[in-house]
Amino acid sequence: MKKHLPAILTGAGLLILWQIIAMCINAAYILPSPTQIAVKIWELRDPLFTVHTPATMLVTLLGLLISVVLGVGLAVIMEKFETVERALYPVIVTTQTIPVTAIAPLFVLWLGYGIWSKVLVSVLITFFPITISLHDGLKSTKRENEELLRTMGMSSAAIFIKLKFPAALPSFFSAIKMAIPLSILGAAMGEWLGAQSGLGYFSKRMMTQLDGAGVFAPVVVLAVCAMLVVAVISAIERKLITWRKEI
Amino acid sequence: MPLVQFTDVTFGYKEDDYLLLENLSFAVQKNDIITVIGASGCGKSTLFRLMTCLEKEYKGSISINGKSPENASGTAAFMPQKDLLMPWRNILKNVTLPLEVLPISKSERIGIAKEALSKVGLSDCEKKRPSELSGGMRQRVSFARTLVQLWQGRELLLLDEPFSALDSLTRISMQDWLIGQVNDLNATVMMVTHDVEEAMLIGNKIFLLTGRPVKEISIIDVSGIKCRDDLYLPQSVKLKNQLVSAFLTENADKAERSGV
Repeated sequence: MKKHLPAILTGAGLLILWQIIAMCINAAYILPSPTQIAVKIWELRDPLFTVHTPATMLVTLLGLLISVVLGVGLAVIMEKFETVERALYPVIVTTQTIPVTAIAPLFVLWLGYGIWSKVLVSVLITFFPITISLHDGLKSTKRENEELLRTMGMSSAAIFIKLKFPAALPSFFSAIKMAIPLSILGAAMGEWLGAQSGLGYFSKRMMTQLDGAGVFAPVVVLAVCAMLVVAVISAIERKLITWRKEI
Repeated sequence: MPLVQFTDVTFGYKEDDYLLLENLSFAVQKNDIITVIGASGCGKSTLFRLMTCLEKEYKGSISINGKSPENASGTAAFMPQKDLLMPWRNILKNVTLPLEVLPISKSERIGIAKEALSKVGLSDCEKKRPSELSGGMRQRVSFARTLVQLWQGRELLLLDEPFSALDSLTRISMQDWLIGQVNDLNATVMMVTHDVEEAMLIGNKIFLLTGRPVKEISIIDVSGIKCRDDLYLPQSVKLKNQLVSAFLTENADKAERSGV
């Protein structure tokens, strides 16, 4: 608790400042106060938590799963085959220069208003940090470690399983922690551009009604969801990787 | 038949524009305990890299137990300069690592590793992580990891400056410990070292590498030196001074060659 005290105090200070400014402006459609947002979340709890949050979380989960499979696959292949690395690495970097918000409407055109257009936005944003971080992690093993295992008679596959993969786990967890907020952001962004449910869609609908607190309410829910999932992943990481500082 | 036979071996690293070894020939007989000394960068560790097939592009012939290094992968057990213990494995699992490529059951692997840890006096550290051990203890774990390979039929023990990263007091105690271990092993041992006293104390023969490229190896019999006290005998002191002087001359030549 003592460790988190500076962050809690800073957060509380900012909320108080926000409350004061909002009260001074006194126009909830421009800047709702934190208390107004909290009240709005409570009022809208039914649609927010039973319809829209599960819809966004489904897109996030699917996006994250596909990104992990794609990212891990690409990282492993690029680590194994230098030619593939030289061919794919610039392409992967180029995908990140594409303005997703600009092309996301195309995804709606191609895949419709269902969840897959949003999943695609989420994947496009999320797979990059997973691929690059894991690839760097796999590449980071020292040559002398690899050579020692070779003198023991280990094959390349055994070296991957016993050395490279465990050594890359800290990078993998860092990538996942980075990818979760991005995945949620991607899902919400997709929903904002065209959807029938989800927190992004809900936020946009509140916007058309000039309901400032209603716009913020799903944003707060999104942020809390991201923090909770990252906290769970961090707890798993702490349990699994007790040796991070020793490599 | 010698266990290791180099015949006219010529080798240089691709990235270097000079040769390290040129037409080098030597033999290591079974049960020899050889210490290899020479100036930094003269090619001592490269000999091990050639023997363990980590370097394959050389001219000449290398024979390990009558086979080429490519076909002799089960002959040498290698202990590197750094312990290279895996931080995500506990001590016991670090020692079982080389056994995991062998067709033996998990319980057998654990049994062998426990015996090796007992041999190096670390039975009570099985469940600890490498970070919980001192430098000397980590080196002993590294030795246990090498030892299990010898117990599984490898005949040649290659030690690449195993104590160079330790402080002087720990090194002295580890040297005395290693002498006991090596004498018990009944294996052929080659150990690279920078320390002349260590070379005299541990080896029965010293291979002195000089020149660049190394064209021949001077072989010095030190089988008369059995314990640390023998290092202070007049003939040992004389030999040590000769070796140190050879080292200094070599280093001066090397500095001249590199323009320092």
